[in-house]
Amino acid sequence: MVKFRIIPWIEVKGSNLVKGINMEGLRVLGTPSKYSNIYSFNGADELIYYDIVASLYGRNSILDIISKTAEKTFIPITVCGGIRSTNDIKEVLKAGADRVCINSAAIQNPDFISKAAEIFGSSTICINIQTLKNNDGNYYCYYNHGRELTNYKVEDWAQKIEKKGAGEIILSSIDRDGTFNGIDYDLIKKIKKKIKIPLIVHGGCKSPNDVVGIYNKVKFEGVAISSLFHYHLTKKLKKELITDLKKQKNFSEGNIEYLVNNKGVYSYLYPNTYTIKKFKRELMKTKIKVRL
Amino acid sequence: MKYVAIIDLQTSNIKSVIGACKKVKLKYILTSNPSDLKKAQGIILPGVGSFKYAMSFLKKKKLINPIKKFYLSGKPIMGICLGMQLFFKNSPEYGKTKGLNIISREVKKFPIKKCKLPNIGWSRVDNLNIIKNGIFNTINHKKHFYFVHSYYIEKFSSKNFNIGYSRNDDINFCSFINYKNLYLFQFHPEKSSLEGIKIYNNFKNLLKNAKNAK
Repeated sequence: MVKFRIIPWIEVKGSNLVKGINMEGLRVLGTPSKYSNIYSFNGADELIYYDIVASLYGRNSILDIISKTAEKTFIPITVCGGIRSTNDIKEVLKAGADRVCINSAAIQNPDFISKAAEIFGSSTICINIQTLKNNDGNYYCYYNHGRELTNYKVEDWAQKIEKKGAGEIILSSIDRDGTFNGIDYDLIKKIKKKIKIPLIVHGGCKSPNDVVGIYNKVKFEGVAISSLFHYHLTKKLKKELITDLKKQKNFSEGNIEYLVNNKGVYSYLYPNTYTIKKFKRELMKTKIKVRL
Repeated sequence: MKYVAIIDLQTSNIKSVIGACKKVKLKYILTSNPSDLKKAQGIILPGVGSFKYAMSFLKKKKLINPIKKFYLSGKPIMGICLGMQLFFKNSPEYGKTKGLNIISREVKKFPIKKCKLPNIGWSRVDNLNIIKNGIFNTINHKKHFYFVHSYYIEKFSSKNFNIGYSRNDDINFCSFINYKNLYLFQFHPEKSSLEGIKIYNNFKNLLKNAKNAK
């Protein structure tokens, strides 16, 4: 039987690793390779690269990042962001990704999912759902990095994409993203009832116990985490991370003030951050089976 | 030049297969040209993509008979994921499609009522401790390997085969099959961290031994 998966979620903007809160206010935390190298030898079951501005600026820097990672790390890589055509998928796989994760292009044309699944196989095509709770109590889907609202309720959309041949759902909670406020149980419950394909949960995770509490009520296949793991390294490697950033040929864009001065809400000095190994060891003490 | 031929299906995760070969210093060429197979010491048939697409690609590139001939020559062949399934009789993926039919068993789709579909993640492989063909040398039998698939070969046993098994809920399936010079993996060794890389190293040693035997 496959084990519960722990997946670092790595947001990339240009050549920087960034992290925001509620998908906004991006802070530069270092270079993606620094983080991914450490994660892949620290027990990560997979890496997800989420290319924030892929659709706006083209994808050259992410292809370069994937290709360097794939030659060194030997764990699965999923690429999310800016995938709009079967040709895009081909390019990303060729660079070394194993799976792609699609949101905007699927919302705009759900048949794209079936077309992609037919060529690349269902298990290669993963769908990212970005959602937040509306005032009417429903969760609606968003696209374009959480900027554009759709009429799809999450549970309806999840069912639809499963029918179209999606192989997995990565469910991103916009209102929990980057907050350490805990995983959204109501959201998972809504979707899990309606689908059979695997579900990876993303957004708000605050501790291994947070995962266990929800898993005991509703089963899901894994969790994608950024802040809880990233900030652990940020604290430890601050100086190194800053030097690395400045070494880059065309280092320019982005807010590194946060990394340098630790200013702002949800400080990276949040006390209860984890390494992946420590996180997994905590889960091993419970019913959740992970790969160590 | 001695090399292993990695067959380029153009939908595969070629980069990581190449990365694994480089890591263990296994010389390779990436090809979809039948004439490159004649001089190869071994073949790696990787696979991401659908069965139907892959078979029509092999047909278009006139690779079907050269692969069968290569198999008959006794030189080692490694098939990964879809590249494993292609050696079987047929698969129902996007309409029943004939495979290379070297092993006359059918590929099946995971029944959604009995198990997860697709099966994605890290799992152990049972039976590794009794497989003595060298491909799992130095590998810790309790380690996990990475799977990502919707189709499978049902568990069977036969004295001509070395088989490793894994489970997806109620379904037992073959996660490794060795039949003669075929080494077929349902999981991805090149995505299974350091234990997986050891498989590439062992495959490299098999190539050497196969050469010495001649």
